[in-house]
Amino acid sequence: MIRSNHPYFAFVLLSICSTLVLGDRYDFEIDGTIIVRLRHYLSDDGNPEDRGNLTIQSIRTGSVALSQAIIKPHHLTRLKALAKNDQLYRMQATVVTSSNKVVEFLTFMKACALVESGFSDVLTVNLDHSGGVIAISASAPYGICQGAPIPPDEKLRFFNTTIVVRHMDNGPVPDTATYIQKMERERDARERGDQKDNRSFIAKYWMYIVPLLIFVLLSSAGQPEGAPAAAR
Amino acid sequence: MMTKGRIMFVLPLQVFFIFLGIITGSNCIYEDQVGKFDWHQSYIGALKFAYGDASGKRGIVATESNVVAALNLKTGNILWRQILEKEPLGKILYLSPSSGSEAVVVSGGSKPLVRAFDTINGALGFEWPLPGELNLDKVIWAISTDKLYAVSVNNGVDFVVNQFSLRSGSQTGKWQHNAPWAHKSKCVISRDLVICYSGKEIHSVRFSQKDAKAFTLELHQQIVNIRSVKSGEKPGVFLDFAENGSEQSHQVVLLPEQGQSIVKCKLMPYSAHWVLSDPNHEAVSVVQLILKNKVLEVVTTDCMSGKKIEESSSAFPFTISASLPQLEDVICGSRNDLSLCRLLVHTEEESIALLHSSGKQLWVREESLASISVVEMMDLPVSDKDAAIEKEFDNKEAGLLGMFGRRLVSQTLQFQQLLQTVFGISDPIQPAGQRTDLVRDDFGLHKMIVVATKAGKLFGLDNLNGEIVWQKMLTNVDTSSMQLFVQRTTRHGPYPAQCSLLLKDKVSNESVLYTFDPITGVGLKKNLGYRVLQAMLLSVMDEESLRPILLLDSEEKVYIEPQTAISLADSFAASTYMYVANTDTGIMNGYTLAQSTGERLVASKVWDVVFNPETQTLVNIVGKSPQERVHSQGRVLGDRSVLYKYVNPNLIAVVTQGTDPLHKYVLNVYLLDAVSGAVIFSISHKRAREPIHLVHTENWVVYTYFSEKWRRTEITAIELYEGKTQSNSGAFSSLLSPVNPLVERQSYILPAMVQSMTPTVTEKGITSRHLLVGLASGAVLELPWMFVDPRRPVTVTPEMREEGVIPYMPELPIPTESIINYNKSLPQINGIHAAPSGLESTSLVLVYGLDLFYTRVAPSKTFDVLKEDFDPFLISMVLVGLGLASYTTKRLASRKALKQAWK
Repeated sequence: MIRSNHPYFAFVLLSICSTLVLGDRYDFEIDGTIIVRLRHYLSDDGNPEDRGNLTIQSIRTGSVALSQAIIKPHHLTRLKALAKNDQLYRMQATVVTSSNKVVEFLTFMKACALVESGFSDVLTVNLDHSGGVIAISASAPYGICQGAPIPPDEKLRFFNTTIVVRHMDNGPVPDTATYIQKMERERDARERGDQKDNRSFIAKYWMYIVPLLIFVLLSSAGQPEGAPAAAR
Repeated sequence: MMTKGRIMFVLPLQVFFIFLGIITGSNCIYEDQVGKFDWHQSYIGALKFAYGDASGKRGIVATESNVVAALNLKTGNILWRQILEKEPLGKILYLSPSSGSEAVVVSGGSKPLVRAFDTINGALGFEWPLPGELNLDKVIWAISTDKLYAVSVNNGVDFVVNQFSLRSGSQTGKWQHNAPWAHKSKCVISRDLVICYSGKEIHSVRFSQKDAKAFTLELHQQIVNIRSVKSGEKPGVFLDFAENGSEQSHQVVLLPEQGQSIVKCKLMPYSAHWVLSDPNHEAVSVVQLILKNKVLEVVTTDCMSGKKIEESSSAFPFTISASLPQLEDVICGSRNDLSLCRLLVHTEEESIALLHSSGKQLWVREESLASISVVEMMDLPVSDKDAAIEKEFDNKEAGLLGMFGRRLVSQTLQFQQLLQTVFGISDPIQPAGQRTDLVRDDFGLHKMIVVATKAGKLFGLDNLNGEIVWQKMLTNVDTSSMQLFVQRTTRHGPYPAQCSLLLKDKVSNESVLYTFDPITGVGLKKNLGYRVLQAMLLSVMDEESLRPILLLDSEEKVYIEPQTAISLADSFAASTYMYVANTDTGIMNGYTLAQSTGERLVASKVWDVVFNPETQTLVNIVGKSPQERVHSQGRVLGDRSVLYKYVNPNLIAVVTQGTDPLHKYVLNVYLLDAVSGAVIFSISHKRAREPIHLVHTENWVVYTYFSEKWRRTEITAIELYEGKTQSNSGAFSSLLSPVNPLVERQSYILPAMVQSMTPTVTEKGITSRHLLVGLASGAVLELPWMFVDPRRPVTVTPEMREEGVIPYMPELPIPTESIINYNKSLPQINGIHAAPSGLESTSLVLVYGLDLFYTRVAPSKTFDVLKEDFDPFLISMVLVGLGLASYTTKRLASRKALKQAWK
């Protein structure tokens, strides 16, 4: 009965949620597709179980398609046991590149963090300068493993996975152009300032000279009064 | 008033230079401070060729470090030193005296250069490139009567002689000799003969003549080794014969010159090293060096009779090496009497020594210090007196009475010592052979520099003057990858400090751990019996205050040294992670020890990062120093808010050099969390290539590289911030709720070639950090971090100005005041080591390479040190004077008040 309700092969398209880290990202000359098979370990020893498939349709745009199976109840109990014993949840990702090369990646997170977050995990696929995958790492951004209540079982049926495809950033180069422009602007401004500012010395610095004069006048005016006082 | 007006019109550039003057003013020193807290030692490197010049005063040497130098034979000091180019251009292939007083050097890769240096002042006499192409692997070089010969041996066929005029460099001849017996490794040149052996025969041909006939001599035994005779009147060879039973015999054969006869000396049980001939008596004597039980015997025997000549033989203790030294030259001055000669030798430990034949060791140069691999600066232990006080408070379980008793005893001791010093009685109980001044000073400025060199020699140097305190040679070790761990510092009471050096066995390639006391050098070598892939210090100490070393071997097994610490390691296993990188496959693996038990440590793989070797190769991995302290958690911005630093102790920077069809060279820098295996940040520079030098501390990474596009060195700084809020102020966790840091980045032009780079380190991390950059010009630049700050804005906003950020300038200045080694240029800088001192302001710096240079730097000026011209005597005199004056005036005033009251 259970078997018919939760067929092993019935994959459910759960989330196609891709984020590309924006900014000065690296652009590739060639585009390509990457197919990733996800399998996870439900205990410290033993063989991995199938979790789903991930296809990066375009490494340039980072558009992905992800299909993951419903978490079966006996898998859920094993995952909860992992979380209870503060063990690690490990996942293996097998990548088939566009040149049909198979590379295996292993990643892990704290099982308790995964369960606490209600199976909302983030898979980050890091690409190198040529568009090849260098790392696939999983993390649970909401789990903190401090004994937070575990969501009820009916909420723990699906992985709510976010896929992040990260390109390399372009390295900065010394910004000589802007600096030279800035220098030129400043020079122009100065020249313009010089042309405009051909007033006389007094016209330019009257605001300093006047207080000085007043100060001198005041102090000299004060002295005749002070001198007799001292003489007395 | 006027200055105020002027500043309003000053260029930002000038503001910048004023700023620069303020900041860097502290770096430079005054002329009278030269040598006050710095020292400089010059080296030449491991000896390759050497000879004593005609005057008998100078030894001319050429070394593995591409140096040609002259040594003063009286003192061993360097008279002059010429540093040739880097390899392959500067690799020295041949050194020989010319007929004038010049040293001729052949150096280079595919296109060798021939140079002559004046032996007196080291001036370059002439220099010319060798015309035509030569396969240098086949060439044996020789100089004879103003001609340079390059004899290339075609194994089993012939040898081709190229003759060049030494002065002009023109090729004056080329001919070939048929020599089916010739084999490069079995041939030597003595004078103008090529002498080869094959089986029992030796063959010789006069190569300087076009149609000379080969001469063959058959000996009675199989020959295994041949060395040429460089001295005496005749050409000849030293031969080692194959072992016959357990006996090995040796012989000297001198070959005829102009109608003379062959001289075959008597067979000898030890191999000979030198030939002395007396032109008047026609007699030839042979010098042998024999090392037995640390006694070096110099034995002179008569060639024909094999009898020992007692008056010119000697034996003396020899301590500088455990193996037989190699004799480079016998320098005799005018008369050829061995009892007046000096022997120039060099040893396996890369030391050069001059021995007098009577047994006096005239001088020793420790040239392995020119190839230092790892450095550590250790605090010195406290003095006995301080140790007694520490002991007093050490024992906690003693009761009230016990504590009181101990205090009485220790105070009696202190009183006794006081009396002794007052009455000038010296302390009679001083261990012999130990230097008494090696104790910790008040400011922690006196340290022990522990270095390990490529020759496998360990040294303890006094940091105040660079003197060698102890040395230790490790034999049969492969020093290509060495790691030095400080397991226990000197701060832990009765236990001595302990360091461990991890290296490999030369034969089995298995790892070897040498555990030693860094203050005395005494230690124990232990063969581990497995190949270590990764080693790290455990972050906790055991009950003996020792930090154990975790080792991961090639079969993913985990070991711990000492093994007794296994339970301690197990208690922290769940939070212990290790990583391993393989440069060939480009795979990095992370392991957790979480599955360990109390009996056995187990590493299980938890993450992989794969750098596909087809597109990129791993160049370097730089982690943070585990002892690092970050004092400020954030940076205060102009609007008074705080930008919190992303301080992840597990962050490592991985540098890969990629290839790309379009951009040719691509430089990638990945910031990886070594615990979770997550790539925190990655950046790629197009058309940038090695040499790459990277510094990784606090929340920033700075690296230099060569920009292929602009053909210049650029420096890039990356700074990581958590943002305006801090995720977890207590402890950092790589696994739970990881944060994606904000990344600031900026590039600058550095108008110099970088050899090495390191940040300054201070005790608490309060002092601002500077970068110490070793340049190819031989300068060490102290570059304030402020200058490479990625937040330097192009257009300055008032907020930024308030924050104290300097406006952006694409090119970094190299002001001469920031060169910490002033006019003492340091060639071939390999590394810079910075260590904290007891003073927060001061960082101790050792620059190593061909030379050693030690100095102190104070990045934020010496804020905790009194000025040198501070006069405590004057101050106290003034204070006392003022006190007295106020007291007397008070008395006078009160008397006056009393008198007035009576009026």
